[in-house]
Amino acid sequence: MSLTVVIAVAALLFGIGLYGVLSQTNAVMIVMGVELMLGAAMLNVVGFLRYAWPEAVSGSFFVLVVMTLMALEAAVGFALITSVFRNRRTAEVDDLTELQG
Amino acid sequence: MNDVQTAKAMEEEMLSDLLWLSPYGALVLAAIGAVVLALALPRHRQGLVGAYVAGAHLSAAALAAGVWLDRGFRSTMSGTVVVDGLALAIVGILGVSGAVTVALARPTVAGTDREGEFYAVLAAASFAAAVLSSAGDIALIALSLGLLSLSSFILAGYLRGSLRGNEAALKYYIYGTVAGAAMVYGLSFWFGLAGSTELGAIGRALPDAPVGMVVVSTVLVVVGLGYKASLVPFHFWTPDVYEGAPLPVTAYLSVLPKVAGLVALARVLPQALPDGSLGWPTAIAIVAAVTMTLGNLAALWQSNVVRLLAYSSIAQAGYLLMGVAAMDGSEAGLPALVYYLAAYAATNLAAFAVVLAVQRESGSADVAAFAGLGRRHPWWTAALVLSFLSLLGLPPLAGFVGKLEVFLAAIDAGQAWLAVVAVLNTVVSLFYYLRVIAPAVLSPAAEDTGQPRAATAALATALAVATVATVALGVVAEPLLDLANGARLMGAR
Repeated sequence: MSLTVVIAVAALLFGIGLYGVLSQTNAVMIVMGVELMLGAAMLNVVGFLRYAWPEAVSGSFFVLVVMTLMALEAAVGFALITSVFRNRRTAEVDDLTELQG
Repeated sequence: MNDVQTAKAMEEEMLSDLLWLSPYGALVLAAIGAVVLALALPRHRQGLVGAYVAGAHLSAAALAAGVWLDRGFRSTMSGTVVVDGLALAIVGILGVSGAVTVALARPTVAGTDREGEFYAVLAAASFAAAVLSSAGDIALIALSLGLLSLSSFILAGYLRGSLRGNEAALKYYIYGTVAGAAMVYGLSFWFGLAGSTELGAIGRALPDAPVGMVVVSTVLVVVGLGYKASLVPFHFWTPDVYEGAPLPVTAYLSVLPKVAGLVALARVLPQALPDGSLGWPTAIAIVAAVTMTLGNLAALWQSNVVRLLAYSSIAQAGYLLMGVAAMDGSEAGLPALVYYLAAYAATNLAAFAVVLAVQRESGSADVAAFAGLGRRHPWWTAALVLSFLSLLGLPPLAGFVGKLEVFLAAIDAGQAWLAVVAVLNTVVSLFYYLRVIAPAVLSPAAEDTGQPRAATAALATALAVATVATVALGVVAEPLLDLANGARLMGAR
C-alpha cells in the first residue's frame, strides 16, 4: 500500500514537472520543471528500494547518479540562460526566434 | 576457496579488466589532459591541445582495434561496461570521427578565448558516447547520456557572443533535459520491476511484469534515446541546433549523439525485452518508417544546406533504425547497423566539411552559395558530389553498402514492407541531394565577391580523410563487412 502511495506521489511530481516544462515560457521555470521530473524518478527509486528491494544496493547508487545529474543539469542550464540573458536581456524562450524555417 | 583468495581473484580480474577498458581510458585522458594543457599553455599555443585531443582519439580507436583483434570481448566491471564487438566498433568510429572533428573545428575556434576547453568538452562528449554504447547497467546509461547531453549543449553554445549559438544551445538544452528526465523516470520503473540496475536482470524480470507498466516505462526510455538519435517525433530540435551551432560542432553533433543513441537502443531493447516481447521490433520499424519519410519530405523544401543536411540526417536515422528493428528477427541486423553507422559518420563529416569550407569562403550556407562551385574549387566539389551521392546511397560509395546491408537485414527479419518504404524514400531523397549537387557542377562560376579565405591545412586534411573514408568504405566493403559481422552483442551477465 505504501509503495503505491510513493509511486502515485512520484507520478504527480512528474506530471507537475512536465506541465511546468510545457506551460512556462521563462527558461528558469523550465529548468525547475525538469528538476521536478528528475525528482520524481529519484522518489520512485527510493520507494522501490524501501518497500520492494531493500537489498538492492545498485538502486542507492542509481539515486546518487540521478542526484548528480540534477545538479549538473541545473549548473549547465543556468550557465546557458545567463549567456542568453547577457546577449538579449531576456530569458523568455518565446523571444528566441533567430532559427526558423 | 577462502575469502582472501576470492578477494585476490576479484582484484586480479578487475586489474585485467583495465586492458579491455583502455580505449575508454584514452578518451578520459583526452578530456582531463586537455583541461590541464589548456590551463598550462599560453593562448597562442592552444592549438596543441587540439593536436593532443585528436591524437588521443586516434589512439582510442587504435586501442579498440587492438583489443578486438588481440583479446576478444569481455564483460567488465561486473557487467557494467560491456566491451563487445558493438562497443569496440563504435569506439573505433568515434575515435576517428573525433580526430576529424578537431581538425574541422581548429580554423573556427582558433583564437577564441577558451579554445583549449572546447577540445576538452569535445573529448568528454566522445567519452560519454563511448560509455553509452557499452553500458550494461541503467545507472551508467543515465549517467553517460547526461554527460553526452551536457557536453553537446556546451559545444553548441561555445561561441557565447553568437545569438544563434545561444539560441541553439538553449533549445537543445530544453529538449535534451526533458527527454533525458523522461528516460530516467522510465528507467526508475525498470529498476522497480527488476530490483537491479543490470540490463541482464531487467531482461529476466520485464517479460513477467505488468504489461502496462512495462510499455509505459519502455516508451519513456525510447524517448530519451530516440531524442539523441533525432527520431521522429523527438526530432524538433535537430534543424535549429544544426543551423545555430558552430558548423564543426554541427558536424560532430550529426554523428556522435546519433551513433550513441542508436547503439544504446540496439543494446537496451533486445536485452530488456528479449525475443521481441511486446512487439517492439514492429513498433521500432514503424518509428523508422515515419522518421525517414518525414525527414525526407521536410528536406525537400530547405533552402539552407545545413538545414537540408539536418533533415537528411533525420532521414538517415530512420534508415539506421531499420538495423535495430531487424535485430530481433535477423542475425544480420546488428552488423548492418554497425557498418551503416561507420559509412554514415564518414559521409556526413565529409558533407559538413565541404559546407564548412563554402561557408567560410562565402559567408553563407544557402543552396545558392554552392552554384558554380565546380569552377572555383574542383576538389571541394568532388568531395561534395561523393558525399551527397553516398548519402543518397549510390554505388560504389559507403552509403550504398550501408543501405544495402540494412535493407537486406530488414527483408531477412520479415520486414520487407519497411525495405519498400526505404527504397521509395531513397527515390524522394534524390531530388534534394541533386538540388545542391547540380548547380555546383553545372552552373558557371559566380563572380567572386569579397575576399576568398583559403581553406586551412587542418580543414583540408579533415575533408580529405572523410571523403577517402566515404569512398573506401564503399569500394573495399568485403573485408570490412566480415569484420562488422563479428560485432555481436554480449549479454550483460
